[in-house]
Amino acid sequence: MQRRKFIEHVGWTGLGIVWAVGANGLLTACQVGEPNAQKSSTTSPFSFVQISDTHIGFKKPANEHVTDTLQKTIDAINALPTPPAFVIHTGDISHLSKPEEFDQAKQLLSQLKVPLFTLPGEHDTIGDRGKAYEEAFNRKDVKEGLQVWDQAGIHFVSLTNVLDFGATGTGKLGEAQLDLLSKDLANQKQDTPLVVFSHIPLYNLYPKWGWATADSAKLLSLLSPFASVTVLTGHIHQVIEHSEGNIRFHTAAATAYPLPAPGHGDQPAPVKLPENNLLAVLGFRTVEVISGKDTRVDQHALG
Amino acid sequence: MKYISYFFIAIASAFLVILLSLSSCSPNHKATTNQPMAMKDQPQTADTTVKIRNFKFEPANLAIAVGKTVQFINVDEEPHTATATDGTFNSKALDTNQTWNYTATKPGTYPYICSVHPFMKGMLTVTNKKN
Repeated sequence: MQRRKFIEHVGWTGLGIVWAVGANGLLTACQVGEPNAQKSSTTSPFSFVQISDTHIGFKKPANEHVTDTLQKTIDAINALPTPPAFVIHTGDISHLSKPEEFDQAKQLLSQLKVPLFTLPGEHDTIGDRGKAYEEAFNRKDVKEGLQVWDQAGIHFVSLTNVLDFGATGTGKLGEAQLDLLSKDLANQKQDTPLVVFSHIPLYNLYPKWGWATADSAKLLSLLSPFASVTVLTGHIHQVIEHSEGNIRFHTAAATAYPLPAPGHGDQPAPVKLPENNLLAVLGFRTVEVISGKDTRVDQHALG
Repeated sequence: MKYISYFFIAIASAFLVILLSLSSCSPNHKATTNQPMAMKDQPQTADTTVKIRNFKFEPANLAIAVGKTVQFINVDEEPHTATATDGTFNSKALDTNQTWNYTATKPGTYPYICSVHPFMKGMLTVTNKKN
């Protein structure tokens, strides 16, 4: 019964679901009948892709072929009719932070035809607080875990929240990173669309399993003056949508294996599904900028 | 002709001797390499154990004296770590059935977590040798 509920919970696959940011800066959901139907209405020159939780090195029954599912993901991204401006990986590239896992992930991801941004998950920082990870992925312009850039009129913010933890094991951004972000956002116009990335969700999704960020309230107070904020995170290996004011939160599917819905089961341990059902809950998402600050988010399942 | 056949017999018998000695050597050779490997496989001596099972440290509270060694063993499918929140100790990633030994050096109380699942909590209390 639990598994059925779980499948229902993450049953967003099959037909694509599109969220469009309307003139009020809020996301509205609409169904897309066929993948091609949306193409005809898209004249967008700008889109990007989010992938997450590739867990290279994982070999357990929930997915014994994580390199294959990542390869499928890469092939699908390279075959997109509109090439994305970049791909961002929102953490847990590796399973055990081993150099050979980082190497293999890098080799696979180097097949992407567009630039790759990355940020670390807690599986990438085991034992050395992410030193080997930062070296492997050469993140030079990151300060206090924060990386910002501007593209197509959007201000992008990449955050690190896996190096320190809150009381119940939630993620933490830390004062230094929040101070830097506060200064950065002070220079932005409030009608500039913000897109924010991190690994662990940036609201209280399910603190009992650590699916929250201890100091997210301070972050949200920095984000709330902005008209349109899209927050894209990983970590929980399933798509969950949430909103607070003008801030829209989207957690991402993994490319490796699913985790149970919040509170389903005793622990957030990998869920073993039949092969076909597995591919249906793995995948990536595209985010398209249609005009000005109108964006839409589209899920792509692997099967 | 006679000499030639003697010659061949000599070569054949020499070949046989070499073959026999080789085949008798190889098991001996194996036995000698096996010994140090068996030595290596022996776990370092630990005085007590913390089992990591079902996303829990068992026992969650443990007291050991300075100089004593605690062995962490992960029996979960998921990887775990034993990471002191003040940085005093930090295991590598422990995959299924991997172990890690920590020898206590300084008295004190050391709360620790699994850095992969930081909602998992344990407490190691290190006491003076006299106690």
